[in-house]
Amino acid sequence: MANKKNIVAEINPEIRDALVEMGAVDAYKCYQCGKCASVCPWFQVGTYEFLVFRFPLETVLGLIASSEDKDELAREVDKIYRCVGCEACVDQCPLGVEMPHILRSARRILVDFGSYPENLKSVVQKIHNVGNPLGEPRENRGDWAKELLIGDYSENMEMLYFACCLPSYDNRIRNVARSTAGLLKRAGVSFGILGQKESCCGEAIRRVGAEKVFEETARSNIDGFKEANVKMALVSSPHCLVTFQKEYPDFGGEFKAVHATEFLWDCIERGKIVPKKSLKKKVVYHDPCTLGRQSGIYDPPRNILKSIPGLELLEVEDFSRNLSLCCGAGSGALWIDWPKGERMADIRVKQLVDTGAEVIAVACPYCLQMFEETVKAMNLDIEVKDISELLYESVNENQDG
Amino acid sequence: MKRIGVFICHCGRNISTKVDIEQLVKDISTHPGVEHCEDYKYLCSDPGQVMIKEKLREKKLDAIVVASCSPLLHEVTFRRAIQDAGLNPYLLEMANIREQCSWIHDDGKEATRKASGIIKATIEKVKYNDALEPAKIPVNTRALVLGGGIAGIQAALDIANSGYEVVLVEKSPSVGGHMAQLSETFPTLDCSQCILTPKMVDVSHHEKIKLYTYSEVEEVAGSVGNFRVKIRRKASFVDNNKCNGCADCDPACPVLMVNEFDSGLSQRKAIYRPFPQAVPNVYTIDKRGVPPCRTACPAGVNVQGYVALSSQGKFKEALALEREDNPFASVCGRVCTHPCESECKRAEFGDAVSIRAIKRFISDVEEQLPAHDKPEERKKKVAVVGAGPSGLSCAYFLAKRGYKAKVFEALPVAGGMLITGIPEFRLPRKMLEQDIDYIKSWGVEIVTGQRIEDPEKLRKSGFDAVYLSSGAHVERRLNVDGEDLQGVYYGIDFLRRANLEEKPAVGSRVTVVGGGNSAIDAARTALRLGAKEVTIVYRRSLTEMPADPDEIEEAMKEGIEIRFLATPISFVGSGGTLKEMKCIQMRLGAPDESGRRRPEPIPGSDFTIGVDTVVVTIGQSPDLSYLPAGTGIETSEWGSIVVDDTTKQTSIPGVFAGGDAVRGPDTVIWAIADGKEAAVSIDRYFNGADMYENRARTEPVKNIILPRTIKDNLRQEVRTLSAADRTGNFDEVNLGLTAEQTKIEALRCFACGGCTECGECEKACEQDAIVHGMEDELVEEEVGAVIVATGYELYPVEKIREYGAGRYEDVIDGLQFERLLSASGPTQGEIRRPSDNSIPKRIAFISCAGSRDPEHHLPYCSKICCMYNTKHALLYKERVPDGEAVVFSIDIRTAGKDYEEFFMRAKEGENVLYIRGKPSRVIKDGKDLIVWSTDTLTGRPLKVKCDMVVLSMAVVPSMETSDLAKKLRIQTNIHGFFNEAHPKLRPVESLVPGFFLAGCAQTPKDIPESVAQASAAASKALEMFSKKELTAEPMVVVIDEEMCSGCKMCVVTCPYEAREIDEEKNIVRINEALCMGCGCCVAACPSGASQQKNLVEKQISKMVEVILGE
Repeated sequence: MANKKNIVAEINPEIRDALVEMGAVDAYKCYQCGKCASVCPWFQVGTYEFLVFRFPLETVLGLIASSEDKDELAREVDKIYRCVGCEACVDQCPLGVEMPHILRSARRILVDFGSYPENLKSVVQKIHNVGNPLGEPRENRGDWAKELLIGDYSENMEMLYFACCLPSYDNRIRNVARSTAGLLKRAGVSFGILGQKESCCGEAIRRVGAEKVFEETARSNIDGFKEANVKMALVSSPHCLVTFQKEYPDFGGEFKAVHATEFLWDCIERGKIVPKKSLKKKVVYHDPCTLGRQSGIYDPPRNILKSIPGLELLEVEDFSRNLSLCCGAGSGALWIDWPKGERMADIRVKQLVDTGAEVIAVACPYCLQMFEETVKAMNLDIEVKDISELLYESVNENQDG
Repeated sequence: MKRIGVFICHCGRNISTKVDIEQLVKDISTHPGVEHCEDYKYLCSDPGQVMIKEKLREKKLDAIVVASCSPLLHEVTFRRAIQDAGLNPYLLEMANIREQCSWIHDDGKEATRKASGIIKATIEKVKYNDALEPAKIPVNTRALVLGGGIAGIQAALDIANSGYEVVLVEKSPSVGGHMAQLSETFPTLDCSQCILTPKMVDVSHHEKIKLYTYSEVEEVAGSVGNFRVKIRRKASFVDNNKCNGCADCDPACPVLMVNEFDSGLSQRKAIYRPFPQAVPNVYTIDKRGVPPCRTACPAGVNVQGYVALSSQGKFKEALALEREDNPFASVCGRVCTHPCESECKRAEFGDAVSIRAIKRFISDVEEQLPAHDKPEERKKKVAVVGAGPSGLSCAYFLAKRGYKAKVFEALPVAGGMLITGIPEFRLPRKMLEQDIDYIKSWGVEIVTGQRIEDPEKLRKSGFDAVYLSSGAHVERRLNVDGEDLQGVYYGIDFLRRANLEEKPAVGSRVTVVGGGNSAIDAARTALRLGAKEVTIVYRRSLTEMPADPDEIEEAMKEGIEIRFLATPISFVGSGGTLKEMKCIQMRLGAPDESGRRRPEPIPGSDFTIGVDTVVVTIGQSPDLSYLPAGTGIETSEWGSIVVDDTTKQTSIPGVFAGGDAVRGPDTVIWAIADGKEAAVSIDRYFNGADMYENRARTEPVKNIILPRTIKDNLRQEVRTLSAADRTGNFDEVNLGLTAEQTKIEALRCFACGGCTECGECEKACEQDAIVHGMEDELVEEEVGAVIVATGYELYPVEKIREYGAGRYEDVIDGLQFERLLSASGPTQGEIRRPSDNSIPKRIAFISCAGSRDPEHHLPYCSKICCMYNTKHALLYKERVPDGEAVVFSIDIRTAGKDYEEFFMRAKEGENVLYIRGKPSRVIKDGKDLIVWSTDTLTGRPLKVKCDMVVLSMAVVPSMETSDLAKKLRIQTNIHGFFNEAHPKLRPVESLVPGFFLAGCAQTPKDIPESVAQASAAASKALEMFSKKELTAEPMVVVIDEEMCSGCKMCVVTCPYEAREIDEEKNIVRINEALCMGCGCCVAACPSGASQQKNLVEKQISKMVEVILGE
């Protein structure tokens, strides 16, 4: 009996105050209705119990990461890193509780103590060392643009194209950068890139809890942009978009940012780009969490798809727009492997396939990577394409094949 | 110099914790004019007031400043106190150092400094205050009660039973409000109707109550004690004095509309009584406007009317109604291009109502021509040139007005293009004759085989007016080589010969050139005349083809091929006989003026088709050769007659024209419309009336009420002759709908316009109570007090996307469930789910749907939901004992007498399952609904499969509230609920004197509370009535006559209409009874002539001075 652990808790004001200090203020707001737990993607996964609404209560009681038992703490770390930052809970919360801020503050404590997943440690290190999460050489960042003869950004240009790390390095996803650049050229936009002078936007590692490395990366980008006198950045990843628009201003970043889908739809509306080539396919659009719920951009991607001749746009009836299901890659989850049966992408792809679509259209490099992997692993007969790729095919009538 | 006393209140700890009172007393004591300064813990208490009175007498004070809370709270208290002590109450001023100081500041030092400034400024003001005498206003002891729900009924009865008159205004046709919709009421479960209806009857029979139902307040003028109220009595189109509620009209009315009393779960007629126990027990006709189908019809046919009659199987009546506006029922039922269907609201949710097929059916079933009364004969005679649809229509509408109309036709048969241009397999001769016989039955004379050479001569030979409708029969040519070869026909000529039984010879390979209905007709005719292969060559693509898509489809079914994007460039023959047709391939270029893309030849794409016969059918133009040169009738460069768009009159007065002779080749319905309009003009011409008045096209009704769920999105399929049965004969291909199909199809109509004035109710009503021409009536009433009890509605289900947003039939709101529970409801009190009428075995009740959700919906608690969904669960268990009731909630709020016990009865007694958690989704899975939630207590994610979901939607103020608030000039909170004067001490009064509040218009509340508040509001009004006179605040505005220039700036600024111009002196005069002392005019007056008593410019500048000096 003497060795049995006492399970009666006490309120721990120190942990609570530290969490609130780091941004978990909304924890006090929550009235424990539990709606978050059933809008959470883990509810749809169904094999892992993730009771979102417990975090605010555990925060105000100061119970997060309070255990001295190693195994228990490890289970808690695993739980805290289950959140994929899709913000479905924020979208649906009657009180607007910023749940990701609550989790981020918990993660910051874990990162400060060095007790967070090894995979993520490595990602944080790579970004710190070479400015990208893949660990690829910094000097190769602009390689994708070489054959397209895209030069460095200079002051007199309209915009900087900030391609994001995956489209800069990943063999498959580079085609997104190429298509986007091709479209910008077609629209007669003067633009350039910053190549090795830019780093990852840092969105993911901030959500992982690595605040210091994020700040350092953000400041280096901001300084670089200031030096090059960047006034506007076009991004392919909605993750870069929210970071540039909502987070960089706190560190002195004062440039404008626009997502490729918004800008390209504007080009189509103005007649600067004309989708001509017919694409007789059934295409279903997947709303990326960060572009839809978090940035409110729902229609430009759809409008682009509808403007492509012959294309039939499908919707996932109950799970589109703000009710879209996450691919499972946000807030660092791209680099965490959960076992089969616990993957959101599998469920989302099934919803998308069930519409009868031949192509899944996305507008985020994370979603693209997650779905490509799932389609391959599940051996499905469906294509996954970024909207820029589909649009470029339709605009580029003379393209081979 | 006044001797001023200043009293500073601690307000318990409210002021003293922030403001250093001791310091303040020191500071104020030395301010010039202050004779005495003292503080106290609660000045408003009795000892506090006694202290003020004593000091006033002792120190001979003649002005008092009380520094404490807001004057809204205690000004009256302190004024009364100093009045008791013998001082004029208007020599008191309050300095608000609580709301405006201690409550809103953190820094005590600064708060003390601010308090000092506020008090000193108030001292400066009071120095210049005059002793004022309040004005006396006589009170009108009648009350106006707005809203006839339970709160309004209670208030009205309380006042009336005290012997005062009440005017009760209710917007709907019956009193009763939402309570009349309810089944049983919590926590006693007594039947809502049983306790309400006797009160409703009392209201209608009470000699002191004047009841205006179906009425709305338009304007309220005047002020407390003397209001003048304008009330709009909406036209109900039924004479309430004659209607005895016998309900005979109900089955007669064919128009089915959404029943709002059943919250959309059932349908009612356009003539209706909200529910059988309605008070007053009279019917109302729901007219919403002209439906889009009717405004779309060129001839303005009462489409919705005959569709509604058809839906009830009243085919004869339907046909009669159709013929009011168009004599060509059989013709239009077959070949009309049905613009009505294009505008049909149904088309937004699938197929438009198959209006043309319905029309055809009602004309098909006519066995013999109906008898009709002869119109009163008139002397004037009209000659009509051409017996096509336009001329015959004109003659018909003239004959109906009693004029003599004689139609002259050059051909040996009447019918014009209908008989020569449209083949029998689309429009059988017999059916055309039915329409023409009907026209003749009105006395129209038709002379065939007589070509008119000069219309002017007709006038000279005794006709008083002429209508020219000679059509368009001149064929357009291709202008290519070989067009004169034997074997080349023109469409209209070809069709005329075929139709008039000349049977033109066709070879085995026939090509028709063109893309209109005539081209399709020619191709199908050629096939029936023995051609083996028939091809249509059209220069544009299918999307641009003007022919009716149904006809194109039928042609293709018959084996006719269509070659798109090609046009002939020459015809080649040998020995004068056609052999080949040379064509060129086309492509579509930029859009032309018609909006269609212009076809352009592709160079070098020539090809040849072997043909025996070609029929060129590319259009016609009018033949005006019969108009001799110099007639003076203006014609256009396209060879058509020019008329005035509205009147159809040509350049010669008394000569009118219409149809294809004016338009060029156009549709039947436009030809009919022209004839109809011309008849109107000719009638006005004869009577010397204004030719243009009231002839603008009406706009379609905007506020279309759609059914809750829209089903049956596909139209009834029309039967057709099989392709095999069509060869070698001209039998009609389209066989139309069956009677049963016609009724089903007609029931698909949304009844956009409401009542169609079909006249069925008039026939049924023995009391002659129907008055279609009734207009809204404005009445004026004078009252002294107004009780506002305008009630609530539910936040719409459509706003909650995650619960299905109104897309799922079996997701309903609380009031709808009440209707399912109610014995007078759509299921007579049996619990049946709307989608399939089955008994739901598990129902989920979701609380807080829209309430307590500041992020997406409404932040407040709607208060009644916890209790009513507990009641719902209980009653459901009572009706369906083996059913399971699952209630999802965040909290259960049962504050009320016997409420907790009621909740426990549901839990314990009936085993209602309460889950603590807010569901995130309702998802449809086949017939089931799945509720996604979490049970937050066990921490288990849940998917609950159920048959029906009842959402406890938030309570919101009724839709009219914001408008009404503006009319009454009383305040609402940001959610639109009326604001009370004080949340605790004056809960039933509005801030504006004379207005009292009751029921859910103030905030969500249940029946006991509504009734209590209504009685309280009534007693407040009665309190007012018990005085003979009211005293009005004397702080009104006075005009310095010397300074006023009569510029009227203040007149327009005054919100209370309290001022008028003295024309003689050219200055402004104030009506002191109306002036509320708001001060708007003071700010607006450029010269400073407008000054408010005890708030004159000098006082303001002194106050500012002292504050800036601090």
